[in-house]
Amino acid sequence: MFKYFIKRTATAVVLLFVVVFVTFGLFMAVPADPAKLSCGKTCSEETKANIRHAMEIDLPFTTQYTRFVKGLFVDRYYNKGSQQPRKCEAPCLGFSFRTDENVTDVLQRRAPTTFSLALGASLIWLIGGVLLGMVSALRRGKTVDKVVQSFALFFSSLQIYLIGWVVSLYFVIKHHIIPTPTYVSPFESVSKWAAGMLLPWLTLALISMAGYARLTRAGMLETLSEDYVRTARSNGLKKGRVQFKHALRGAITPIITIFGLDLGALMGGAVITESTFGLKGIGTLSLEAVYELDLPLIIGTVIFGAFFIIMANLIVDMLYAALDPKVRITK
Amino acid sequence: MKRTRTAIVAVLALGTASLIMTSVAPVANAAGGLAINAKAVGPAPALAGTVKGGTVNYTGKSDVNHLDPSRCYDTFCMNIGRLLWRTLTAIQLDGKGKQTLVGDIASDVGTPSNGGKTWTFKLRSGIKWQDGQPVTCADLKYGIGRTWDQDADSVVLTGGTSYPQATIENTAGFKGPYATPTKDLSGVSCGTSGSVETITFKLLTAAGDFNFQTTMPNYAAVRKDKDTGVNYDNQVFSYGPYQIQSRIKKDKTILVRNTYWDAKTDPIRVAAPDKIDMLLGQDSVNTNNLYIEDTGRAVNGIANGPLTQNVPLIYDSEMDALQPLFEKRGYYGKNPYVTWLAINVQKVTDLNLRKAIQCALNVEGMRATVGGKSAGDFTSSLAPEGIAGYSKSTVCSTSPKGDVAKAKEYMAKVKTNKEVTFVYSNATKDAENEALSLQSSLTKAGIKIKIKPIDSTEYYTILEQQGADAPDLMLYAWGYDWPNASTIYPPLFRSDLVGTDVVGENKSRVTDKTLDAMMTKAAAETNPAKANAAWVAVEKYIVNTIAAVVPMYQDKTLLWRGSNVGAQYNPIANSNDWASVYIKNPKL
Amino acid sequence: MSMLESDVAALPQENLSLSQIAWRRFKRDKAAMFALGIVGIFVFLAIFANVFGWITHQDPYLFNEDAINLDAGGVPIGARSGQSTAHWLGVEPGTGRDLFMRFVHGARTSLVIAFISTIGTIALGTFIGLIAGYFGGWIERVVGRVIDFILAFPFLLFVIAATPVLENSLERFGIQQTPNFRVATIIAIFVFFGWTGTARLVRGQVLTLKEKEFIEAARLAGASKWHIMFRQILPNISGPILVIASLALPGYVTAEAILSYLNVGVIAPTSSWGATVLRSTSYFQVNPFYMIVPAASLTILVLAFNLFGDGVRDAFDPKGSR
Repeated sequence: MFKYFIKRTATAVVLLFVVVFVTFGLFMAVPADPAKLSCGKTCSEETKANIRHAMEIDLPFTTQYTRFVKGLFVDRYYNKGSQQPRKCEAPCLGFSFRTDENVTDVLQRRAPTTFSLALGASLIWLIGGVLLGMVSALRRGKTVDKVVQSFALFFSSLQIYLIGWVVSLYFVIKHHIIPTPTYVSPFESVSKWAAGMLLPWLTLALISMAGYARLTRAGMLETLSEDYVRTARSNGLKKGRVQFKHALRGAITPIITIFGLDLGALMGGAVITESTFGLKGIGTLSLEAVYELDLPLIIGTVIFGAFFIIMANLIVDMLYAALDPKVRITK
Repeated sequence: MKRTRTAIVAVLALGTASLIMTSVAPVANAAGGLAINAKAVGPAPALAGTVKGGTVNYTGKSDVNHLDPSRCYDTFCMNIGRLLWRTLTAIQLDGKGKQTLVGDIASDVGTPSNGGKTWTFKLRSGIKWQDGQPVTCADLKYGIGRTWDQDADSVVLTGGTSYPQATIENTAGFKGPYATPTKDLSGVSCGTSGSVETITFKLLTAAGDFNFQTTMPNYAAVRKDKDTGVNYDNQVFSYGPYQIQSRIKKDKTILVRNTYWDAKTDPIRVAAPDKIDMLLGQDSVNTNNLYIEDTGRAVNGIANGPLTQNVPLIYDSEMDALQPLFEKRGYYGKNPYVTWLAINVQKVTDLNLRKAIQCALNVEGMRATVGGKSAGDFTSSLAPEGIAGYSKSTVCSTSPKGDVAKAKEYMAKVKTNKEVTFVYSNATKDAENEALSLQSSLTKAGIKIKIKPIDSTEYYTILEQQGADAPDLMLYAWGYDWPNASTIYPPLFRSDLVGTDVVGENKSRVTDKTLDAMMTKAAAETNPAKANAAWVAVEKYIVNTIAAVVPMYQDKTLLWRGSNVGAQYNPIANSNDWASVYIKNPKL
Repeated sequence: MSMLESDVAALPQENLSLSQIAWRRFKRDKAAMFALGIVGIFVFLAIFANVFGWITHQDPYLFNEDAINLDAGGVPIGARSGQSTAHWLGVEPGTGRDLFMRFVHGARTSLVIAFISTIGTIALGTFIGLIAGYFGGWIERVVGRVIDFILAFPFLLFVIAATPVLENSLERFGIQQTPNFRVATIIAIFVFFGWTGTARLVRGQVLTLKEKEFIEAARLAGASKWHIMFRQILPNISGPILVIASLALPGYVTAEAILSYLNVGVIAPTSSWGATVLRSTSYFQVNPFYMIVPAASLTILVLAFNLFGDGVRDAFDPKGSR
């Protein structure tokens, strides 16, 4: 088990490095000009050249790349020899072309909003979805089941970009049912944090909850019909016990897997939800960065997102291996 | 100046005009439509009903680019930045639409001597920094000197205008306070006159209206010991009525009162609210809905520019119940910008083809895609109404729909009907629809037209490019810096702007010596009636003789404000005026 | 089961293949057939979009200025976005374009992108999955790593960033940015990310089937590797593959709509429901009908695909799920 853990972690680290390399290569190859973003028309050619020099864009690609990778571990100094070398503390992801801010600082500032949104919403849809799915599976064929199924089908077909601002228009602006969504740190005030995030949580969770309900229901029905459950039942175990212990355990593994991957992807930013509610998270950051071709920010957000996806994959694999010994051997 | 971003390029134009005007004594004539008050004092004229107190909100998508005055070049930062800093001279609004040049840090509007090559300003006393220390001439000189950092190797201060370097003498090779800390900026010197400080400028060439250039943000004071270079953007040390309490770029900014600001020294700023609260990165549709419903942040809020499409619709549509509400809460009127189609005369060389384009263009259809009547009023002049050069002439047809028949007549005379390309920015769907409308109207006349979307990050670069990639047709908008035709035509059509690699603002790539001469003569004309006639002639030459542009409409601005806010329109900022905004009922 | 080919040929005719059994079951599922019908309607509208244009005398690209109030912001004249006998679903504010035609052409955009992307995803994914699963060894390892790598990138962000970058680079080779080229770019990016899921699943299935006796028998009988992969294994995994396809279709419809909503989707004058939704949010308070058409279309189409997908899954695996 331990050996598998080491091997798997090593693979994840290597993967992250490959992602960093490809991202840097891909985007640095784009002929975007930091000078354009920084000062637009009023800059002379000389100033533009100076800006490129300050951002170390004028160096050959391999030099830029090695400095970038080194900067992830050791403090990086831009233009060491000049009058005003700029310090960028490790892990250094560069400076934004537009605002000159340290990319790592910006990511740190925006991450809590995204994390709050992701964790809150995913918990809601996991618990809600699984409960609904369970109820639906256990009362298969009855009215409850049909109702839940219909709702689940409908809500999982809803389009996310439709919900956000409509909900905002009717619940916040027109009828003042919920206060304007905004991010307040949970360390400041838990109640304000929850109230401010409630609408974004619900909006994001609604569609996924429907999906998870369907997943749970299908999974449970499958396990309920499986031989070993039937055997357990015939062995005289009480119906309730059987349902809970066996059926759920069988269905839960794929759901946990998918949940882990979904959550991992969400940590990179829920672009549409964040932008609809004006939340300053990684999602809106990446959108702004792309629209403005702010390369260091783009690279920073892609690496940030990839990191969590890789981590989520690692954790899910570990859990899977812990639960299912077959996996460790065949892999 | 160009509408969507920045660049008060017009000031450069004054260089040409002023060469001729060295002999003109009263500076008032040089300005044209703007009044001048050499003895202005505070307090600033307040809007009727002004009450002190409360918090004004700003909710928007984009943040102010730079609050650092040495890096400020767009109307947003100029409008709100002057809550934190003051310039040597400034434009005062009287609440009734009148604009007056007054001294801001200066107590007068400057005295030229030496034929306009030297200017001396007396400084006001009583202006204090946010820690109580007085603002001195040395601070002002330091602030002006920071502009020269653009010429140095360090790229700490990017983004500001570069007019000081273009205008002020610099014999010692000064390159900003970081690169050349020991050198002196020779063209700026401090002195005293009796009990007040004075500042004297030695210019490279005579400038009859240098005191207009000193309204630019570069002419603001910065205290050396509080200068934090790149970070000054977020930590501006204030001597205006407000100071920064907190600022996170693209997130939020809070301004609170600077208790050392004295209203009696300030003829510009009323500073009625106690606090200014800016929240950025907000979705436009949401913000717009907030203002429509007049709820939440919008009640105490003002907008910095038009929001989304349905604002004009609600104004213009038959929603009787809502209309009077909006009347009370918005500014809806003309602004100093005119939108026109620029034809690249270096590429579209056939005059008949250009005239055909002028006739075929369906301005009404194009205007409808961006809001109809609320986008602007049809015009046939590049100058806005009331400015010299404006005339109610016709371009080709009296109908804003254009005249396809006449266009076809011109097309018949065209030698080679080559395809023309219209470029537009892909940033919004409206721009796309505008392009499609243009394409459909020109195609009706038999013109071969292709429309090409350009990525918004590259759009302005492409507009200026020469060579094979130079666009044939493009939309442009321009507004004066102050009400004078010399800030409209020369900056747009002077032949020296057209280079081999780039063109400046001369989007039509006009290199016409006759036109140059006409413009120089008109700028030199002191008699207002003769000047008007001369500029009208310039206008007719550009539009009718060489068909370099197609004027479309004079723009309108639609600005929201909350029901609890009083504000006036600032034409130069094309926005609600931050200096005079007030909260009607601070308890709400 | 262990059967040789000769045995199969000798079987009585009633024995149907898995797919045929599934199809029979599908036909009996009323909800699934209904969903198929809805999808069919959309497909019909999309294919015959131009015929509709001929019937209604309308053009999706024509600016009908007489239908909108040119002064008042281009608001459509009349209720429900200017609905009339000439304009069945009204006109678009600002431009006057016929909304029914925009609707059917938007269907075309959504369906073309969804179907071609799905086919591409399935084809590429199945092919790579078969090879990786059957040959195993280093091929499987390499494919596995490549899949891990591609899946590590945040999909949406990458698509938004990559589309203009890709087009800019290709422009330098002289390929112009036409609307059709943009559609091709979008499909290419979708397939590039999409094949991974299919490949993983197919590989898993192949691993299971590889050891089965009938494959062993075919090998002994001298069948080539390709024959085994494509003639023996592939038909037996058509079920799961179809399930993936049925999941992919609504996913791609949504993905394309999201891209258009973020203004990085198809370019003018191509009509897209997502782009229409984007524009209609600004007009919602004054002209809600403009939004309802594309919003409802997208929701109904995705719903239909989802229901259809449920039906497909049940048809191949009736054991427990319904």
